Amino acid sequence: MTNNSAFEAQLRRQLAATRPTEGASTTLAARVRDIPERVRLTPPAIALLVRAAVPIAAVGLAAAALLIASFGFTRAPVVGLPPDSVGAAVVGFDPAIQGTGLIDDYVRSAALVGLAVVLLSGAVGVGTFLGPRAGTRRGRLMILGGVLGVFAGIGLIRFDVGLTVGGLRGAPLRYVEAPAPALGDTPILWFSTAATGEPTVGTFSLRNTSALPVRIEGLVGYSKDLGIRHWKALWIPVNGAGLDAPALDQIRPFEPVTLEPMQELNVYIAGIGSPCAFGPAFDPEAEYSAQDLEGYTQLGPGLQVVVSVFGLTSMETVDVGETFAEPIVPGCNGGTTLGG
Amino acid sequence: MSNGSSTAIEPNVVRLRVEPDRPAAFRTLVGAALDDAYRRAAVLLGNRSEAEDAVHDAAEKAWRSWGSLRDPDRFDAWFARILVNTCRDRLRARRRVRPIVVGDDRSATLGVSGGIDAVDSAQSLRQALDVLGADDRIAVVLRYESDLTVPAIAALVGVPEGTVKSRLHRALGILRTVYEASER
Repeated sequence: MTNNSAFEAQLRRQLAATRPTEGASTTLAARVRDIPERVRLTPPAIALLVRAAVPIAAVGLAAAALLIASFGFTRAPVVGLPPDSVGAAVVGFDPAIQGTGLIDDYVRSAALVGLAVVLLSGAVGVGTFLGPRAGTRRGRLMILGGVLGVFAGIGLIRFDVGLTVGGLRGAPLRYVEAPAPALGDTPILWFSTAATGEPTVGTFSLRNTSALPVRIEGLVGYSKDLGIRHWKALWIPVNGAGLDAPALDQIRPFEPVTLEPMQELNVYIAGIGSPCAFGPAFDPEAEYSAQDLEGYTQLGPGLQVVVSVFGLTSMETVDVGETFAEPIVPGCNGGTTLGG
Repeated sequence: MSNGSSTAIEPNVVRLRVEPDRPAAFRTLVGAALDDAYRRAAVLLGNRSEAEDAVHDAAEKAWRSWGSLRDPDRFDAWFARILVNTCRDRLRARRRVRPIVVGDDRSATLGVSGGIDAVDSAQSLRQALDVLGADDRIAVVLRYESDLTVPAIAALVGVPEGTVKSRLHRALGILRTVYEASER
């Protein structure tokens, strides 16, 4: 075992032995002398531009991410309010009002923000690895930590959206409940008895079970796969969030509502009997032959609710615990959905 | 005062904005620092031909950023920093690409003259130094070969003094372990 001072002295000797006694070769001296002839200096303005490019790109991407997070949500009502009802304080269910709370499509801003973060991180990373502090361990760790932190934050917001059905379920207008055993382990089943063009209303409540305030933006009312519109309008109680189930004369057209943690919102979904609707003669306990009944168009129990948390929009499929079905007459090609 | 035969001529005073002769200044300053730079690079890298390339690269970087050198009196420290950074990049690249040595060129590489014992000792040291990371190796060389103080190393490398101390502590521990193991 060598002691410290002896080891250090030995180290000094060994390092000194590796030091060349001669100076730089004439070849090296000539190569260095030749540098100003070979290497043209970058004009200061261009050098400044190159140096500023990465921060400018980073700021631009950050601004883009912020804009997407703030305004990346596209809300497109199916039909829209009738002109005479715009701005009016409508109270009470009115089948003429259509399109409220229904969203055709939306931008998954959470995904876009994630993409922007990736681009931003890439730009910063490239800048760091090409910059004067290129490849320092601390720099890499800082970038990695920053990127992971941002993603963890977005992931936390994205996955913490806990939206479940609350205590309210029902079908207050032109629905009949399916008899047992359909009520067993299967979701509650409601059959529409609305004739073609007649409105129907079903209801359920949404409860925010996450730790963050969740803004309910609306319901996806359009199925791209099937090319059909499921519902005509969304309604909420006059007093907004609550546990009561008011009558249809105490509801108003839907507007986005922010639910605090564990808060609940009653939602009313209105449809209209399709051209192929069986109508009010339907009896859920009757036995129908294929000549009398074509089948059913069912919606639920999963409904797609568009929510946003801190401006990050996403879609949650909520199991509302009930299925709405429309009996269809045979041989009809005029439309087979609740929405018509 | 002029006599009748002579013509009074007002001298034209021409003020020229004389650009400093950058290439000449570069050649003078780098030329003066070249030998020391080469020796330092040779010790840092442990390889003379690579040291020449490193010095050339450092000189080229210095020329490219010549405009950022405000005070020519600070050239030595400025160029030394560029050189150390260049050597560090080469050391890091070397750790990614392990050269395959054909034959035994130890004494040629290290420039050690002497008997078998001297070569073996240098070989042990080289093995030990090769184990170190680039930053640790630079700290060791600057401290024990260039005899720089910890604050001077910190200023040259551009890190806090505490970082230099921890690098030296870690490097000496590794060197001692590897060196003593190879001596057994």
